[in-house]
Amino acid sequence: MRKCLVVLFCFLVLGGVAGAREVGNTSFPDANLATASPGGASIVARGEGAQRRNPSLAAGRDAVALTACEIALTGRLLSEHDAEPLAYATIYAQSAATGITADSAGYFRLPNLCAGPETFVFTHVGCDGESLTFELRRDTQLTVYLHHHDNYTETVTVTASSAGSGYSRELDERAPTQLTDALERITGVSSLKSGTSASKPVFDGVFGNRLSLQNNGIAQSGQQWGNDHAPEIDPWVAAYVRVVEGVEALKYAGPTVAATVLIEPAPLREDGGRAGKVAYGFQSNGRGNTLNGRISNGGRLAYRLSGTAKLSGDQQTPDHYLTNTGRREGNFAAQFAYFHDERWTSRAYASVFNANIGVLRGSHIGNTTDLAAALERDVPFFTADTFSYRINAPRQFVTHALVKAETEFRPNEDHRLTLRYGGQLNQREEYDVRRGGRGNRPSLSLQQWNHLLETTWHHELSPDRHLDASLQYEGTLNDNQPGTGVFPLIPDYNAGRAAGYLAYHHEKERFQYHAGLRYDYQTYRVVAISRNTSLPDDERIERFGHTFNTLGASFELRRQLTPRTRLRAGVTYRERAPQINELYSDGLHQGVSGIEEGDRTLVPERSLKTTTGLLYTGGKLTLNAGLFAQPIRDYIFLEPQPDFRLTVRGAFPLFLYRAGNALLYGANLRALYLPHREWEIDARLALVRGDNLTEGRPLVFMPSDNARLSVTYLPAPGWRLGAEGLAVARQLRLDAEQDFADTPEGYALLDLSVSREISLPQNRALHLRAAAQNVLNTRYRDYLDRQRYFADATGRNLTLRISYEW
Amino acid sequence: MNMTNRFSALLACALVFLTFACEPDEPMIENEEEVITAVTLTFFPADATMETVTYGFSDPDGDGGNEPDFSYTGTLNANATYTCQTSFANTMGSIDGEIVAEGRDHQTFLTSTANLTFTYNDMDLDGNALGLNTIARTGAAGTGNLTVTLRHEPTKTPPVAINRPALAGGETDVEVTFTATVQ
Repeated sequence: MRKCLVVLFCFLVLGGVAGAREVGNTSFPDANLATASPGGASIVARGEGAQRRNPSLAAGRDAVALTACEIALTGRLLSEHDAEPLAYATIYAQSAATGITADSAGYFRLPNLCAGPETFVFTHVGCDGESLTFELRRDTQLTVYLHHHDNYTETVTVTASSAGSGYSRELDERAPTQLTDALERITGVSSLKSGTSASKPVFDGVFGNRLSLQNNGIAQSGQQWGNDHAPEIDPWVAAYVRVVEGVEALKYAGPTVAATVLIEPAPLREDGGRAGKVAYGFQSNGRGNTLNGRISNGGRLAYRLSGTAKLSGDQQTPDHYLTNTGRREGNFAAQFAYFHDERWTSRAYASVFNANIGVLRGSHIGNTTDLAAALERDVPFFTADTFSYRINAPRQFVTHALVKAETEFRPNEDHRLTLRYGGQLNQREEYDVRRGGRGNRPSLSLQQWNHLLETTWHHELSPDRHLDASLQYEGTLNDNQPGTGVFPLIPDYNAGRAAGYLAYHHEKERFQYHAGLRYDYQTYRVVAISRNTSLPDDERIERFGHTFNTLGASFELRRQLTPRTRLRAGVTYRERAPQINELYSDGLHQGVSGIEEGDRTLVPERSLKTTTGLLYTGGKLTLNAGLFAQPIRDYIFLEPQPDFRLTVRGAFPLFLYRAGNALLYGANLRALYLPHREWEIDARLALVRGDNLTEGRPLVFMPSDNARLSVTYLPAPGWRLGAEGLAVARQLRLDAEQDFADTPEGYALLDLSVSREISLPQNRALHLRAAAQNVLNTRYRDYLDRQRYFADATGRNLTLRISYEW
Repeated sequence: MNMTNRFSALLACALVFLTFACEPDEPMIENEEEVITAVTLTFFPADATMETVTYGFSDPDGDGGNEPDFSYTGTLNANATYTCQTSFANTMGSIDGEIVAEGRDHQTFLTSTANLTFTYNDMDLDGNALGLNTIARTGAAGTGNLTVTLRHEPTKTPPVAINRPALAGGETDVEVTFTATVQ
C-alpha cells in the first residue's frame, strides 16, 4: 500500500556520473560528497572503476559501448540511519527494464547496461524507495542510502516511490500548506477537518485518538483533546511522513488500534557537509507568506537548525471570504548529533511550535436554532466584504514544545542499545466570542506535560534476522488552567503508562516474517468537579482512578511469489484503553452542538485487523493492491439519545459514550506507470467502509470513496510539470438522522504545478515552483470537513515558491 | 502550583511511578460568571388592579446535569396591556447590567403562539432595539408557548423584528420557552 515515500542520500560519484539530473535529497546537497559513515562501514563511491581496471578495453570500446551495452553499475545499499547493509535490496534500471537483487551484505552488480540517460530505482523491504537518474557513460560505482524502517506498512510498495524525486522534496514543496495535505498523498489517508483551522489524518477509517502521531519518535501529546485540534508540528521540519501499522506500529506509545503516523526530520550524519536553505512561499488564497530558513552541518557534532514564520489572512471560497480564518505561526527546531566514536552516538532535538489560528466567525454558534439558520445560508453570518489579516475570537492559541535526547551505544556489530527521553509541554487556549469583554480570556485553557523514558535494544541474530525490544514509561499531567470562567469539559488528570515491546524480524530474500508483542499497563488519576452547585466546594471535588492492562500482538509475512510479484499478509490484535474524554466528558460540546456524557465503566476496545496485499513490479508498471478488515469489540462511540437535554439555550441532543461492536473494511489500489522516462502516471483508489454492528448502521466520519490521478512530465533536466486530479464521491452510507445536514455532493478538483531547478556553481541550487490548487475554482464541501455546515471549502489557490540551497 | 514545582512533582512521581500515576492537584472551581442560569419575565399590568405575573426559568448547574426548573406566579388577563421586564442572572447575580452596557451587541426577542404580542420599549446607544423592557398586549384567552431569545452580536436592522429572531443571526445566548396562559 501506501506510497513509498522518501529516500535519500544517494552518494554518487562524480567521475562516473556526468550530468546528474536528479539527486535524491534536496535538503542535503552536500550528500554528493563521499565520506565515511558514522557506523564505520566504509563507503565506496567512485566511478571510473572499469577504466582503471581495464583501461584498454574501456578506451577501445568507447564507441562500441553505446550499442554493445556492456556498462555495469555496481555498489552497495546501506541504511541511512545506521549504515547497516540492506540485504536483498532490489535495483532496477527503468529504460533497460532489467533489475537485480543485492546480496546479503547489500552489494550488487547490474551488468549489461547501455550508455545514455538511465533511471535506477533502489528499493528494500522496510525502506522508502529511491530513484536516481543520470547519464551513464562508463562503469559506475555508487553507494545508496535508503531510509530504513523495520517493517512498516509502506514496505508493501517497494518500488512505488514517486520516481525521480525523493519524498522530502515533495513534502518540502507542499510545506506551505498543512501537514495533513502531505499525509493525504499516502494511499488510504484522508483528512478530518475543521475548515481551515485544523485537520487530522484518517487512515483506513480510523482517526483521532485511535490513530496516534509520533513526532520524531515521541507520541505527540495533546492529540486526545478533540478532533478540532490539529497536530502541533511544523511541516517544514518533517522530512519523512508515513503511516506504519502491524509490528512496526507496536513499537510506539499512544492510543491506537492498528496504525500510527510517523513524522520525522532527516537524521544527521557525521559525513554530512555544511548546507543551508532559505525558502519563501506565497499563497494567493489567504495571501499567505511563509519563510523558512535552515542550516545544517555534519562533523563530529552535527546539527541542523530550522526556523519558520508564517502569516496568512482570511481565506476565500469561490464566492466570498472566510472571515477570521487567518493564521500566524512561528516555529523553531534544533537538532544535534554527537558522534562520540564508532560505537557511540548521542542525539538531541528541541522544537517549539507556536500558532495563533483563527476560526471561521460564522461557524461559532450558540444552539441548534443557530445551526439550523446557518445550514440554510449559502454565505455564513459575519462574512466581511474585505480581506483581513486580523484574527479575532473565535481563535485558538497553541504552543507545543518538544525536547528529545537519546544516546545510542553499539558494543559490537550485533547489538545496539538506546536510551531515550522525550518531554513535551502542550498549551492550548481557545478564545470564544464572549460577553462582558471576556473575549481576551480563554474559554478553554489546557496545559499538558508529558514525559517519556524509553530503552531499546536491537540485536542482529544474523544478517537477515534481528530482535527489537523496548521498555517505556510515560507520564502525563493534564490540567485545566484556572481563570477561564467556564466549567471544563474534560477534568484534570494524571496518567501513567508502563509498556514493554518485543519483536522478531526474519528477512530472507524471498520470504520475510515479523512477529511483535506489546503490553501496556496504564493508570489514570482523575479529579473531577461535580456540577452540583448546591454542594460546598470541597464536596464538589471527586477523585477517580482507573487501571487498564492492554495487549498488542502482530504477525506479518511477505513472500516473493514470482520475480515480479510479492504477497503480503498481516494480522494485528490491539487493545486500546478508553481515553479521558470517553470516560469523563460532561457537558455541552458547542462545536458539535450536542451534550456529551462519558461513561466511567468503559473497558478497552479490542481490535483485530487483517490485511493482505499483492505487489506487482513490472517493467513500466507497478501495481499495489490491498484489502483490510478490522472488527472491533467494545468499540467506543457516541450514541445519540432519543431525549434532548434542556438548557438555557434551548434543547440539545444528548450523546452518550457507549461500547458496541464495529467492523471496518476496505480496499486500496495504487498503480504507477512509467511509459517513458519523461512521463509518470500515478493512480490511486481508496475505499473504506465502517459499520456499527450494535446500532446496525454505518459509522460516522468514514471517508467517502476517492481516487487520485497524477501525471508528471519531465520535459528537460530541471523541469517538472504536474497535473493531479482528485475525485471524491458523495458519502451515501449514512442514515439521515446521523447528521445535521445531508452529506455533501461528490466533487472533483484539479491541481497543476510547474517547477524548475537551476543548478548553480559550487553545488548551489535555485528552485522555483508555481502551482495552483483547485484550478477550476470548484465550489464544494467535503463530508469530513466540519465547517461544511457553514461554508464552502476554499477556492482556487496559487502558490509561488522560491528556495535557494547551498 | 507553578511550573517548576509541577516539574519537580512530576519527577518525584516518575521515581515512584511504575505502578501508579500520582494524584492530580486540587482543581480550582471556576466562577462561571458569564453563564446565564436564570431567566425571569415580569409582567407589570397597566391596570393596577390586576396582579403582577412572573415566569421564571432556573438551571443553576448549567448545561447538562439536573433538568431546569420553571416557575409561574399569577396569570395574564385577556385583552390587557403589561410592561414586561426581562431579566437574566446567574448564581452570582444579575447580568442585565452587562447586557445594557453592551447593548449594541445584544438583542432580546419575544415570540409567542398564544394571543400575546410584544413591542420594544427600550433601545441601545445607537437607537436600535434592546428588548429588556417591552410592552406586552394580550388578546383573547388561550394557551401557547412564549420563547425568549437573547442574541449576541445580531444584525439589528429590519427586517429583524421582535418576533423574528431568525433573521438576526449572531449567537444565541438564551433560548427559553415558557408556557403562556392568557385568561
